[in-house]
Amino acid sequence: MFWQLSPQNLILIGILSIIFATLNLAVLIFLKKKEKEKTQKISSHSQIIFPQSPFFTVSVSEKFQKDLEALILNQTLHNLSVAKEKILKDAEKIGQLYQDEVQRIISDLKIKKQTIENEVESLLENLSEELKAEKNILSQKGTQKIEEEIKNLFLVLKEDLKKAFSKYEEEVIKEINLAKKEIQDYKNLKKKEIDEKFYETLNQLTKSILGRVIDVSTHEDLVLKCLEKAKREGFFD
Amino acid sequence: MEKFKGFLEKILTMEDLLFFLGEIKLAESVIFVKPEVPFFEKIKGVVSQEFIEELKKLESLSLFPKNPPEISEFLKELKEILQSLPILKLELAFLPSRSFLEKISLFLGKKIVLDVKVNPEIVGGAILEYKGKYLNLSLEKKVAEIQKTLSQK
Repeated sequence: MFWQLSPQNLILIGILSIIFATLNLAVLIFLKKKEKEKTQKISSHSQIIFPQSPFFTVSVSEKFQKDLEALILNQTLHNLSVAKEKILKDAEKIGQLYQDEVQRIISDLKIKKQTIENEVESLLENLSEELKAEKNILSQKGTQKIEEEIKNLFLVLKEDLKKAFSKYEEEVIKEINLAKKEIQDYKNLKKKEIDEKFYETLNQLTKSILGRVIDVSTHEDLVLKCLEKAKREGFFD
Repeated sequence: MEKFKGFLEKILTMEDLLFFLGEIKLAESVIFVKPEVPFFEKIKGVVSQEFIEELKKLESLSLFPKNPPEISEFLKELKEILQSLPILKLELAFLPSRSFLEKISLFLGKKIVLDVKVNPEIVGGAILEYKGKYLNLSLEKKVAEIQKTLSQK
């Protein structure tokens, strides 16, 4: 292989390389010298000083300098104008691009909007259909259910009314019995009062009649009889 | 007790008893007043003539003392005897006569003071109270019993 050279070959290659480099340097120095001579011929009437390089001085005439400056200015203005135009064109182009892009986005959005609207409309229609169908089902079911509910409600109501009437009937009977009892009590009380009044009157009447009918001797006899009875009973012992 | 028989005979009702007790009290009030004056002189005009006569009867029988302390003792004894007499409360429907009350007293057979109350409401008969006992023998009660029987029927 190439990188498997012997040391003798390597030394030979080194020497050859040094020779080549020396020759190259000589050619380069020569070329430099030629260029320097040429530059000295051009700057015979004016002198241009390169502040950055104190080793080189170039002299030019005043007219050339003014012309050069004017040339540079014109060129610069021209370049600026071209650049401006380019920038404007670019800006216009970019604006157009943006506008186109915006227009495209708007169009896309419109399309998407339309699509969505269509979809929504379709969806709503479907939903409406479904709802209608559901409504019909529910309506049928609802009617049946309502009928059942009404039936049940009537049954419950009937039962409640029955209970209420039964309770009311019981209460009425209770009230009637109570009223009957009160009337009976009142009757008894009045009867008792009338009886008492009757016997009181009778008592007064009897006493009055007897008191007037009984004479003194009868009174005395009665008293003596009472005393006899008392004596017999040992009342005076 | 025997020496007071005259007084006891005169006492028939509660009014009689109270009258004599009052007389005794008046007589007692003058016993020791003016010792020089005889007792009968002192009670003259103070007590009733009836009371004086009863005392004089006893004096004539030498049953009435002469000196004031003995007179006082005598009156005290009389008072105690009168106060110890049994009383019969008698409720009657009419106003009884004195003779009828005497008849009752005789009927009773022993000295009992009659405390008579007149109440026409009892119609007839009598209501008796004696030594804490009560007996209603009035016609009012009989009428009430008859009415009760009638009302029960």
